[in-house]
Amino acid sequence: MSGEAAQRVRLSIRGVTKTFSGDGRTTAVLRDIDLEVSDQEFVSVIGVSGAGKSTLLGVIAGMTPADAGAVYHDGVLVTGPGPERGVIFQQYAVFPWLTVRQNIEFGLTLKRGKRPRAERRAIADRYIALMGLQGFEDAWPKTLSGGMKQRVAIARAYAVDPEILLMDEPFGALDAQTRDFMQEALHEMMGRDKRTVVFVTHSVEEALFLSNRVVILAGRPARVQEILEVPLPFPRVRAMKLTPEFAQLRRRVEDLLHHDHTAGSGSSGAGTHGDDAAPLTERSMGAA
Amino acid sequence: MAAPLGTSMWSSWRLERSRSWAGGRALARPAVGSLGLLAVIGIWHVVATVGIVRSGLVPTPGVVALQIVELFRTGEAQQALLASTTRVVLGVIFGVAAAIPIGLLLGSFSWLRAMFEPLLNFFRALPPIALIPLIIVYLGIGENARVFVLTWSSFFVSVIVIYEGTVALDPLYVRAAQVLGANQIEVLTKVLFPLTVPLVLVAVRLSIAVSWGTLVASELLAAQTGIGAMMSDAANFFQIPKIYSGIVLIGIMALVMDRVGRAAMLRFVHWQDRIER
Repeated sequence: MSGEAAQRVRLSIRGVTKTFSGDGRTTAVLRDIDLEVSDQEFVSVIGVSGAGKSTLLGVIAGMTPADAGAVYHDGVLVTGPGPERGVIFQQYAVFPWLTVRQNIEFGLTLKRGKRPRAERRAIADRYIALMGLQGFEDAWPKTLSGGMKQRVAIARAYAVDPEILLMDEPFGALDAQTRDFMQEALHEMMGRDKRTVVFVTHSVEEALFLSNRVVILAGRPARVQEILEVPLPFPRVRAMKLTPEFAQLRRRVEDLLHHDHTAGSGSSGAGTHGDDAAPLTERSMGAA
Repeated sequence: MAAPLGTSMWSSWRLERSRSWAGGRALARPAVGSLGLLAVIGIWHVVATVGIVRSGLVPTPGVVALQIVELFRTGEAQQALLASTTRVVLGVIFGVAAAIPIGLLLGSFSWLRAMFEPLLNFFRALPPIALIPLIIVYLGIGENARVFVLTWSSFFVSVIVIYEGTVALDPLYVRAAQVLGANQIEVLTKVLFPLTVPLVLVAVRLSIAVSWGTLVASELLAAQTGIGAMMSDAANFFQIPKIYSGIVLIGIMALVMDRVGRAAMLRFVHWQDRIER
């Protein structure tokens, strides 16, 4: 990692516990999650399906209240959602009744972040360019592909200048090639416009490629099983995915995940193991 | 583009047909619509002339067409249409306007729904005609009573559309807006409102259809003007072609208003991602 002086802590997650009750059953999803994220750090949260990663993100964002523990953003308790903690959803959530430009400018039309029209336009233009959406400013979301919609969502989140970006499996609904492309696009974006990011994914490859650190969530209820540093140099390059160092890291994470899956969480069924197997087959087919 | 491997001759033939059909679809639609109409008119003419029903009881399409022209010439049709259309429009406006807040509330709170849904369905099922004696008692036989009947049917149809639609709204958009900094009011006006516009337009279209259907019942409340009144009068004097004219005019008006409703939907709701046929 770059040898910068001790970074200031921006996000402090302490003892977060969350239980869901419904249909007469209570499921403990998260227990005692402790995590600190430093300024401009890119942290991935990885775990098998159903591990509670999205729930954790919801708590950090302020959308889901925790049953115990708390989240502090710059020392201030998080009590609700807000533009300082931008969220990118897996299902894009791009407003279908607004054009691309109107979507991106949305946050700037609200009372909270209101900007005069010229400024709004300039900000939107900047992110339209950064996200490669030129020519689509007046397009309707229903005409866009998944990858494009996600780019709109990212531009929209950036436009309100969040200090922290929370991403919930943003590329999960995309095909493999688009996913690779989006990872690089995001990484490049981060290079130009650094933010503090918490990134939820169940793709080990994706997590290792993008992050400074990888947090492994495991168990039922989920706890922080391990936190790995990703010692690969910045900026990251696609070719790094083929290096032996990458493979080693990947094996390590996959082993930890595999161990969690077989060690007693079995109730999720055979399906989740397939998730871990998929990246391996991708690789053996020669990700170029 | 060649048909995929393994496609049988039959299914590739169908693929070809549907492709060329889709190409001519814009042209084909109105043509097909009029084909259906022509078929009905043809059958009607046959029934009228062949004598399946006692002659004189079923006027031919030609006779009815002439009657309609005559009604327009004397101004009777315009007068009746104006009166009836006004009632329908008022009934739809009041019915939908009442249904919007109630539908939104019911859609948003499941306990409210649990409380009122059986009641709603109970009242919805009552035919307006059955209520007429009561309405006469409470509202008399003036215009208010007539518009009330139409408002009643519009309301019940609309409220169900709106609350079922509201229940099905994706909270994802609300969360996305909150995360961008929207407050409660902004969530309502900038997210929920645009999402309910399609629902309201559907409710309006349904209300229009239902109101035209209930019109005659409402005009039984001693209406002097209107198509239903015209038809009742004609029935008293056994003027069968005039009765048919009334039916045709009601059908045409309902169709025209529905087309207007559809155009409104295209204009205001074009952004909806619909499953294409």
